[in-house]
Amino acid sequence: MPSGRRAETFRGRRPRRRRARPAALARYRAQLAGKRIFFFPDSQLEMPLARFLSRANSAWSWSRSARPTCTASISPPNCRCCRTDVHQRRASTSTTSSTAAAPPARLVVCGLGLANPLEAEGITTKWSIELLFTPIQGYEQAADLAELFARPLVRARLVAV
Amino acid sequence: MQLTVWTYEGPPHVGAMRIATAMRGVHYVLHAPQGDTYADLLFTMIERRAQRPPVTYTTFQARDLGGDTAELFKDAAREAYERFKPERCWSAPPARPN
Repeated sequence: MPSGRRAETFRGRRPRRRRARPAALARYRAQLAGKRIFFFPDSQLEMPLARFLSRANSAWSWSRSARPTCTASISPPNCRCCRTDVHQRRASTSTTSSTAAAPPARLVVCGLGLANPLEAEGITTKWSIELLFTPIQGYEQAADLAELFARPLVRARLVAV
Repeated sequence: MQLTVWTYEGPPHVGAMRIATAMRGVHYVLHAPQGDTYADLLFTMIERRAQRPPVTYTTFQARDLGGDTAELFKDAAREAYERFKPERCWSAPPARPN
């Protein structure tokens, strides 16, 4: 069998493997590079999501609730832990912009309750629950996951006035 | 101002929050159980306001009720004042001056 034919078969029958290749992430990597992303504690997925973003060359930070399992020791190098707990959500949106010595986040992953005030401050937001509703667990869904973070950033640029 | 009749839809603390939201220079410290923080969403999500209501929740949990929550309230009130520098702080349940 000619090798070209085999390659074609491979592409046709193994779309999931193709989607898992680094090339699938390339465009999102460019869109996310250097962006600081802030997570409010919502789902306990913050740590693995942050690790994923860290590998996608995105500078990011995240917040945590007072959970003993989330320690700085297991976090990737460009992660910054903020001592934010559930009580501080009351505190205001400036949690994200005035955290000591950290520049404001480019993207904030939060619930709908905080999204409008943050958008009014000019901060792009991502609705956190989408990270639960969207299938992102499989290795072939890496690009889908990256797109979830990239999409609001792209939209913010498109609708900028 | 003392409200004697609640005419707002929802529980009293939401009505008080609504009044605080309608005024300037007011900050409302609400000594409330954890779930009450959801009242925020009436303003930011349902009404789509651009700011959070001027409210600080002390947010005690069930186990906190086994002890004294006064310190929790005092800390929250102090922090809220330092942070928001309101002209007037409200509290609920109302703090009684001695």
